[in-house]
Amino acid sequence: MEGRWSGGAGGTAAAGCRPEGGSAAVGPGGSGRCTSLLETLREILRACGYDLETNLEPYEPDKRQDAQLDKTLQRAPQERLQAMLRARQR
Amino acid sequence: MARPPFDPIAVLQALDAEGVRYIVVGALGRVIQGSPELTDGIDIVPSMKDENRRRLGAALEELKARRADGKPLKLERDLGRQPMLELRTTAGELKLVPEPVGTRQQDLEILQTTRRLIELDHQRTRGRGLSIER
Repeated sequence: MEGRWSGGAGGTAAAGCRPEGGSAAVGPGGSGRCTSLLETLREILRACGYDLETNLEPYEPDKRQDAQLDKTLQRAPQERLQAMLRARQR
Repeated sequence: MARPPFDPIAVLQALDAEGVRYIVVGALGRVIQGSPELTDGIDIVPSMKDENRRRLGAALEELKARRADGKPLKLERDLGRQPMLELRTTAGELKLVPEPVGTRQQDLEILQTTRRLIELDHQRTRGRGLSIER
């Protein structure tokens, strides 16, 4: 498994690299990778001639919308559909 | 302005009655997943296998489907010639999307099988299916 990862897009950074930050920084399956998925994605995109820009933005969850979505998710799919059809009639 | 008549349940029932294999996508797909939005039509991705096309044709006859642009509907010719075939039926707007952007038909076949697996699992574990009841 390790060899397969090392040969992949994230291979160069992954070889012999073990983070000290605990298991949360280690890749799936405890493979010992410390290349983040984002970094791997960037390498793949760059190999295709693209790049990925990332920007930090303030995160402000909309609690009212989240509460509404939570309520919707508690309904069965057919109930969600019926609710939409009722809303169309209003 | 009054919204046009739309009965997605009738469309789904007509498709299911003929055994059509399809996936619901677009706004209605999002509504079923929990998105709080309104829609006036149903978009489906049908399996493009010959037998399924035949079944789809039968379901569309049942729904008295006609092309939104007024041209005569010839399913064998029209389906797959354009990215989306927009139809009007007795139950409202129906769009056929043979191959949504970013997908391949073989992926869709897998998804359709997966959908059926989820339905069966749902029936088994909760004693009721995903079928929509009036």
